[in-house]
Amino acid sequence: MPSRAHHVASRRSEVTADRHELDVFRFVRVAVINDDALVDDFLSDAARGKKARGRSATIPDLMNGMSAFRTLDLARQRWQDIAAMARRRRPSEPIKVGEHIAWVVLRAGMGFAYEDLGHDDGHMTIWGDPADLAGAVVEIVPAEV
Amino acid sequence: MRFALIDMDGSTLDTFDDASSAIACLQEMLIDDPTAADEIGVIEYRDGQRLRSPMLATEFITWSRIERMQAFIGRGLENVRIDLAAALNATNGDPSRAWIEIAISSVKAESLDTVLRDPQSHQFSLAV
Repeated sequence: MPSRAHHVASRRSEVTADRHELDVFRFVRVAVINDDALVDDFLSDAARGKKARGRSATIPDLMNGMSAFRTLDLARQRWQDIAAMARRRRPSEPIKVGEHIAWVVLRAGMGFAYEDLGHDDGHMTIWGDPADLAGAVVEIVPAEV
Repeated sequence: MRFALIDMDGSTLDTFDDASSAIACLQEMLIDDPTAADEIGVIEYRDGQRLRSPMLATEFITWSRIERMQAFIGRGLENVRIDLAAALNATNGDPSRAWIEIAISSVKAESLDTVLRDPQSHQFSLAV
């Protein structure tokens, strides 16, 4: 069995003044920025009651954050993957993470943090207050093109 | 990174450089939580690109077993026996991954679980 020692240690970085802003992309269920429900799409994994699996089971702080992607293209690629999985399970199954992608700009001074392990899939973890993260959304686009 | 384990939120749960490690991790997850079988997918990458659509966890385990069996088809029966004897001596009764890889070459997929449970005493047929 693989040892959990193979898990890379946390590489959480705060968004500070020396890196003024960082663009990340996150799946959301709302279609427009001014939807009050947008803040619910920025609850942490722990707040949503998600089960800790894989690396999150070894590094609990990851559960205080949430998933995002480095680029819009990589987010769309991952959305296609989970959509394909959902349709194979049940053809009419809705995609529970939503059908839109929010472009989020993480700026310094807002208490935002992120982790990017540099993997090919572009997956990242971001941390921040849900309302502040929702307020950092600059655009929402369809996940499927 | 060659394999990424993902969930239905789109999160990357873990990454591995080889199929064996990915399978071992999946099997651990499924023992802890059998409902994860159709909640976790596996994506294979090569040179930074996705090779195919994701496989669900149980599909990936089956696919990987079949692939490894196919890699051994065509090897002489004598070679398989020699490899197996050496592997058993080397592991001293500990079912290492190397032993399991070789055992896969000489049993049918549906009997693999029996071999894994009791590798020391299992009498398996060399049917491919």
